[in-house]
Amino acid sequence: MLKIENVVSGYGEVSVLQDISFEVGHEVFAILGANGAGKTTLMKTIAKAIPLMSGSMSFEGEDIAGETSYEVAARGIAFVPQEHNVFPTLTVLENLSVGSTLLDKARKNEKIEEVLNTFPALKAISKQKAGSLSGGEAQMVAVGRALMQEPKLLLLDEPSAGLSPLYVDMLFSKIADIHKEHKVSVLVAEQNAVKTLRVANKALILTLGKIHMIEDADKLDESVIKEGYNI
Amino acid sequence: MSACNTCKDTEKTGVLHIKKAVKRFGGKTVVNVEDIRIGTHCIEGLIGPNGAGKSTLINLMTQKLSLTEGEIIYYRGDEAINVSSKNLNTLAKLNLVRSNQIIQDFASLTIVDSMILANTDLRHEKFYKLFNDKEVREAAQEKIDFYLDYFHFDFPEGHALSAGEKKLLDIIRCLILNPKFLLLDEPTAGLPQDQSDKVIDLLQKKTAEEDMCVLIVEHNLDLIWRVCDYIHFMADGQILIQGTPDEIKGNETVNKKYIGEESNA
Ligand SMILES: Nc1ncnc2c1ncn2[C@@H]1O[C@H](COP(=O)(O)OP(=O)(O)OP(=O)(O)O)[C@@H](O)[C@H]1O
Ligand SMILES: Nc1ncnc2c1ncn2[C@@H]1O[C@H](COP(=O)(O)OP(=O)(O)OP(=O)(O)O)[C@@H](O)[C@H]1O
Ligand SMILES: [Mg+2]
Ligand SMILES: [Mg+2]
Repeated sequence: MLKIENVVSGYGEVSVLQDISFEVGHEVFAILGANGAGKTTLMKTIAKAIPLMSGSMSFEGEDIAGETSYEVAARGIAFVPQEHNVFPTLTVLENLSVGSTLLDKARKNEKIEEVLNTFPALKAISKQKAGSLSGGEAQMVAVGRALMQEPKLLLLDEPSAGLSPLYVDMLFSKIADIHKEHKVSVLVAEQNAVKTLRVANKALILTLGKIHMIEDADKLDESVIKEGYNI
Repeated sequence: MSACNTCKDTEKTGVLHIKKAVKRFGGKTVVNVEDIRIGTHCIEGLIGPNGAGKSTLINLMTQKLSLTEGEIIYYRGDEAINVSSKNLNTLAKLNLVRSNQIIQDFASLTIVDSMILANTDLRHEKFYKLFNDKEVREAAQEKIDFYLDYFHFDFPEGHALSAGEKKLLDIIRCLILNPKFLLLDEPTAGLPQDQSDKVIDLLQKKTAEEDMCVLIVEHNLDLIWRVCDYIHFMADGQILIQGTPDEIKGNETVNKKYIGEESNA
């Protein structure tokens, strides 16, 4: 559903990603790599938070290389950034509502219910301003907002960071669930490789802005991953 | 357990005594700690569910937030310092140092310059000449070389811009300040296994060889079990259980409120 060919991107004049090509089907696709390898840059490129320097990108067969972040969101690509991922002056509920502007009221309420059941800790703080949330609570809101969009492709940049063990498990089972039940494709960058590879079908390892390897998740073990991280 | 009970010299590193400490936001009680001591072991852990009040407690211990009620006293040697009435600068002079859970931006400084800044007592330096002063740089050079090499920064004259790079730099800056009492809020979130192992090895080495003790807030339990000599379990603003890793690991309340079934299996 997502096809990326010879993509180069980065910040200002500096290119970080070099010649990236891969395809994501209806699957859970893991992006792994050391700090600074380019995982976030790749996510931002797909979500159009930074411009493409060259290469091509298509979603469901249509060219999206020249589109804005709003346009790709409207196509069904939801993005949970690694940093600054909530609106601090809006409440938890308002943050969730921002994700659902395309839904009718009944559907929206259903979705809010669903998100609150996915992350029960949010129930008691639903009227609190997101800027005063704990690290983990804010992370739940950010993921929750993306779920509100009923996306076709979900881009998650380190979604488990800051979550308690209980909630890390809930997050990964939710990922597995929306993939199975709702046919959502998921692209997830994670340092928690072990838990990610349990729900992922495929993984891509980035090294210094280049693809080190793309492999079926069940063929990746610790030693293979380490190799990718150390180069 | 560990060699900690013998190596720990609390006379030099100090102990934080938290007494009837309450923090409320509006009508909501976020921290309500009866009576605990932190720093009686080399490396202690503070764990608990999201929203338990861990970061708030660290903020109270380091004057980023003020207490609604109660007090926090830092005992070191003959000194008894009421932390709740001191400002951040005074605390830094006491070598009571903290890292940040929320990733900090040092985008305007290169990695090396950030380290130089941490190593410099700004009151004695002219700010404008800080980064090209030979003496200032030489004073920091040994530490800079060590950290660059230890953590393999590929481009030290560049900026720390990825989330993990920023996180690591925050920890390094804390360590360069020569803390006696170091408070780390989720130091390894977002770091890959090998880097977080390195952070931990370094903390273990420093606490063993230098007068330093550490409190770590972490959700990475493998790490907590492995390095902590003592653990405080916090939920709903209160410290519910304290003990060694072995004591905390099997605890039913901890499992129920925090760990859940799957990770525990
Ligand atoms: N805003 C920016 N401007 C310039 N360079 C940047 C910017 N953000 C990141 N970089 C650089 O781009 C490279 C890739 O960073 P990126 O954030 O994509 O890494 P990452 O794989 O997500 O790392 P982490 O695991 O630490 O989150 C790094 O060298 C980083 O320093
Ligand atoms: N200004 C505020 N108003 C209301 N509640 C607040 C305010 N600031 C913090 N809180 C609440 O206090 C609780 C404790 O927050 P804290 O950041 O200390 O949690 P934590 O234990 O560090 O959690 P995490 O593991 O997610 O980082 C949270 O439920 C948070 O929403
Ligand atoms: Mg990143
Ligand atoms: Mg916290």
